[in-house]
Amino acid sequence: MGVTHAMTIIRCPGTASGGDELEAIALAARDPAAFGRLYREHYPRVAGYLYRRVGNQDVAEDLAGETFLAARKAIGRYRPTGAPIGAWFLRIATNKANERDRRSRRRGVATARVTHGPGDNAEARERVETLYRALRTLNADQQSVLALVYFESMSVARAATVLGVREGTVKSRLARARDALRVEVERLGGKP
Amino acid sequence: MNRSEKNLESLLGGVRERAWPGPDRCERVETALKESIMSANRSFVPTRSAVILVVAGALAGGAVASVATHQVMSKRVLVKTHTGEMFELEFPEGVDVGNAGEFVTQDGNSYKFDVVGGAANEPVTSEDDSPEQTPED
Repeated sequence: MGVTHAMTIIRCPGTASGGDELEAIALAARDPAAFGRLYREHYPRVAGYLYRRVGNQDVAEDLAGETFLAARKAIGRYRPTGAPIGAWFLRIATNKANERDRRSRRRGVATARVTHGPGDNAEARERVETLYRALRTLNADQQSVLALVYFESMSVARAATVLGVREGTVKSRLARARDALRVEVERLGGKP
Repeated sequence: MNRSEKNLESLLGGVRERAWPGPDRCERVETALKESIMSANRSFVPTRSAVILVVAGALAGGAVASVATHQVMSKRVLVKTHTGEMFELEFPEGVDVGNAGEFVTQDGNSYKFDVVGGAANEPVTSEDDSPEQTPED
């Protein structure tokens, strides 16, 4: 004969988005399920950033996976800087994209084709491909700063936080990157 | 701004509008997290088993509301066992009536559960009728 016990289902605590982010991060360092909640909240943003940065969906998806696997290992060593955890994920994502870019150059690996949307017409495709061909001639640091400021619409200060450099460094990299990109686009015959 | 600058601005703006076309989750990360959770659970030695009927409430969006039995949507539920301990159960794929599983606590107790329906904050009863298990030692 079974013994009957009382059991109560209680409302779950909130996720990191609206609550104490530091507490959520500390919990995520100990508990993979808690890390899962952080990852699910930030994954689309990080994947989107990498997609715009590298131009190819498969590569972006691969890099986004590497980003969160690396973050899972490193989150126990996370030290708050005042910036939201999203900036930390973007920093890891940037490092992953830079590593891949440098590795590809060393090995002479051809870059992946640009992914196009189903609604993109021929002219739009050509313009995007021109931009990415030009972008890939820049070094990884220049690509990063352009991606954060122009593709992600970040302020110089925010980009500096993500990259872990001074604002002045972001400004000077941005100016050089923009000049180099413009020259390369013209060389490739990109039309307005 | 000259023509060349305008052209560059236009090209950069085109990339800015490229929305992420892929899924909202990464299979590699999901698999790694599931393995971590299972690996952590395997480190405990079950010494006792009890059958628990879990009644999951609809907690989507943080709302607590009475719901029909077959509209269970929660991915996480907190369970209070007869010993007074609280556990949070995570259901990565969602939870619905008919789901069943097992979780193992730090002190080695193993609880089997069956989701039978119900609403959030609703006390229910469970039957602890499984035979006592003795440790293998």
